[in-house]
Amino acid sequence: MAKVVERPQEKTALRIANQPVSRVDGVENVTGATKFGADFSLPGMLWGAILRSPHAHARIRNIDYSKALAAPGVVTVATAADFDDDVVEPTSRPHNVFAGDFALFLGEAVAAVAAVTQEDAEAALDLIEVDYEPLPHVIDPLESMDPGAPVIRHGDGGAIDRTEMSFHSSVASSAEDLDESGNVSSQVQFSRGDLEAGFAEADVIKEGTFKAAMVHQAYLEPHAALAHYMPSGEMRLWVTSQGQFYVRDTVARLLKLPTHKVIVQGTAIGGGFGGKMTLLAPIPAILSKKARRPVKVVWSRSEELTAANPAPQSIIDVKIGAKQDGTLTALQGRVIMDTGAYPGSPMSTATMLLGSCYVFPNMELEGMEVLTNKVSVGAYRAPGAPNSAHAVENVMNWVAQELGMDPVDFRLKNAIKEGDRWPNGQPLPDVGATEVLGAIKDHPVWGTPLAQGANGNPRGRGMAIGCWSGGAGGSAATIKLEADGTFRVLVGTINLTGSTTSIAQVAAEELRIPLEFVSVSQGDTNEAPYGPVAGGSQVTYTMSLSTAKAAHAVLGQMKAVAAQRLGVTADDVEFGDGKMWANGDPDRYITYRRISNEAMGSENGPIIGTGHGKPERGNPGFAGTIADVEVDTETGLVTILNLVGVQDAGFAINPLSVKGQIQGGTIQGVGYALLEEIVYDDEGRVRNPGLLDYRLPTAADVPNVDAVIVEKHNPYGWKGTRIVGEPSIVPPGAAITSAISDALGIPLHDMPMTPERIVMALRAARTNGEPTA
Amino acid sequence: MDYPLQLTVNGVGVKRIIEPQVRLLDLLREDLGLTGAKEGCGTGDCGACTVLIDGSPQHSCLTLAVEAEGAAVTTVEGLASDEKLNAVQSAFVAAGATQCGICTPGFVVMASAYLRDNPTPTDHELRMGIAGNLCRCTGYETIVTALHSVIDGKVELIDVAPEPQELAPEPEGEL
Repeated sequence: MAKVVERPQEKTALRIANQPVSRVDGVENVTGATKFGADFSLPGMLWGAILRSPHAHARIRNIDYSKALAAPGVVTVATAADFDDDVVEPTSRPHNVFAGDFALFLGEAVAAVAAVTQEDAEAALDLIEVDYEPLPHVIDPLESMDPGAPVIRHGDGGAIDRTEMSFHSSVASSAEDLDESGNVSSQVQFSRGDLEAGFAEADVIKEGTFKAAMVHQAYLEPHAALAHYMPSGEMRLWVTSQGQFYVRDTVARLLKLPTHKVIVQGTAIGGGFGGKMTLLAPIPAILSKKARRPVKVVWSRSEELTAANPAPQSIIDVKIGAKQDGTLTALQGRVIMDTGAYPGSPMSTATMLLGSCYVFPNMELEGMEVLTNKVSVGAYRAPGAPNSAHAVENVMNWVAQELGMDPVDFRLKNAIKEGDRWPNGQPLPDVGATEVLGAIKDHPVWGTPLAQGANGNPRGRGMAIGCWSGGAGGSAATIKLEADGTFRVLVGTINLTGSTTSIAQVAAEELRIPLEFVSVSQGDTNEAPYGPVAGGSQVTYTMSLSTAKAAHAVLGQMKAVAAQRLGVTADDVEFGDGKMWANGDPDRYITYRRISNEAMGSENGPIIGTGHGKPERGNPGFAGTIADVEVDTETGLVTILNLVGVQDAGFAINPLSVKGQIQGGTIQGVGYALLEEIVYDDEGRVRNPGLLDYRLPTAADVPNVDAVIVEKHNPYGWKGTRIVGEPSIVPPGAAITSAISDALGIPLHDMPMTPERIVMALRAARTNGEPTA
Repeated sequence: MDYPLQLTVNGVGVKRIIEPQVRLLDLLREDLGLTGAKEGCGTGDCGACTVLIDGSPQHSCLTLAVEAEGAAVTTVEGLASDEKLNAVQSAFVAAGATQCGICTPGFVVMASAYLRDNPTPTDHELRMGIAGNLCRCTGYETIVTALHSVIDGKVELIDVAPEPQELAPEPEGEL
């Protein structure tokens, strides 16, 4: 059930918006007709394969690929030498396509081959002779911070590229880039009030150090891209990416092509979650430019798990003080985030989010981003936020327990509200933290004490909340009235999670016609108006505003035509269900079909309207989780009994889709909490580069999620819409680990809480009373 | 050494001379242009490449094409009739069981075969039955809901290419 908290009165009744609508592309999806990245091919196409560094850290003295070039089927080979120095940025993974003088992680791309078949391309990789000088490496982030640790960066300078992180969060935070004499690449600090005084007035103080593992977005479609460099000098690409304009700009820059000569068609995307931006496209692009033939590259799952851009490992200290009445007095936090071999992790966001849900009068927060010889990290659905929430929310629950307060009441007393400030000093707009907590408090699961199981295994309950700032990028949409009175909406955003359906609903709502009379096309970068990266939960947030504006532009033109025919002024024209009429005289109408035809003969010409703009500001989205678990103390296996996901969506344009987001994000949170971890050995090699050992939740592992939509009006969104995609993944890890702690009666500090870690923690608690996990 | 191969795919006869290492998935996708079956892992862990071989759901990424000699192969493209989606496909659309859609072909093939053989599973049996197919977007709930609606016989079959409708008739007479 959607729980409406606050909404202004609408002038006209809603027709399509706020209705659960099944996907407009549903039939294509279930018949195999939807074309994803790897599904595109061209006549004469070559296949590309990538040679990767076998060393975690090495100087590359020389690359000789003459033997590979002479191998059967091979057409061309590309290396770092194919990119000019002035476009390469050694500190930016997307702008350092191949390792240059140094390979900084095992699996870093060193060269690529294009050949007639994939087999030919892969066979030729073995013939490329790379003269490596292995260098000392460091894998563990804490060891990397030691003064004696091998230095990872080689004085290559360059500013830290935070472009991709900026897509996900519209909130500024001023991290400071550091020099490269050490492996701490950037740091950030936030402070408020007097920390010592804050802890001095606290009656209860709790603290802990929390580790979260490196995890992978694990979209089920591996990276794929097809590039075709044309004799005209045009570069055409078909790419599975969250942002086709970002791919275009990156390829244009790296290959020194004019932007208008690079045409990117974003294909249907088989999941991204922040991890699919522009890592792969430049490789088939340079191969195609050299070969003058189309080139396709598709990554294997093992390449995905070793050489993409997973979410960072972190070590977070949190200390919280509160008075006996539950008033928070102080927060101290320190984030150490492992960014892998390239800077640009969500460290500063994770640090700031420590103080994002509650009012702490006194705080000191510190964050450090640490380089290691591992794959560089990227964005994963609310980047850094699950790590932050895991630490803060567990400590909040410990404080509540010590105070003898209900954890929801404790949070409600301190929840952040409009006008309160985040650690970066930014005052908040009207946020839904209190309403999300209220929905948790009202939920039947929260109101029902947890019954003990028949088998005697301990059970526990945990809850947590979390938030995400979200993006608020500029966007545009174009709407055309077709000759038969139907409409086409043209957009440049990627249909990552059903946004196309929501955009169709917005257009149908504004144009006052049933959904089936609107089609939405995702045009390529040459055809479509600009659309931002599908990240930061921003597509529906910003595109709903642009689509509504485009609809109003179209309606304005239509009304002018209708007004002339009806003999009234445009202001007196009413409309709906495919016709326009003079106010008060609905029987004498002109159809949209006829308006379209008459417009052609009028000064207006064809009816076409574009809407563009940018939300006035972002507005953070809050979510909460209740988790009930049972733990088998013999095997360490956790069974989730109940899972409730609450989220403030502002105004749910499509409740079916919003619930799907809450369910999906919550279950990804189960992965964080219980299962997922990329494991490295001492040599920097990923030990589990497959989906058998990098274990995702299956249908048999998880319960249903009771998804509860809260709707607290957001004045900056279309009809009150807020960001939706990301917040749901933030609290589940904290809630589930907290529930396990509750069941076992010992504090736990790590994600994922695998059976092995649970058994170890129980053993440690039994032998010395000191929990270690 | 090349092998002669003969099989049917979605009811159509296929005759080829192929190299022995060619996977069934490659034959379907690269040779026959049936890109519905997806390669999510290539190691049989995700189920996105699932097709029916003589009615039995199999990973086409782990099956050599020559193993399908003489077999009747059905891919996701062959599940619907010309007019209607099958019950599992229809239920997926209605329940919102596809988000990104990459796992959907494997899921609907697997679930169609599973429910054919197990028409009245418990929720636990159903979840175990589809546990070999991974989905990263939905958290499985809408998929399970869709399949329960098939089990309960509550699915209205969806038209493949619905007839266009007219919104507003032209008014009679001149304006």
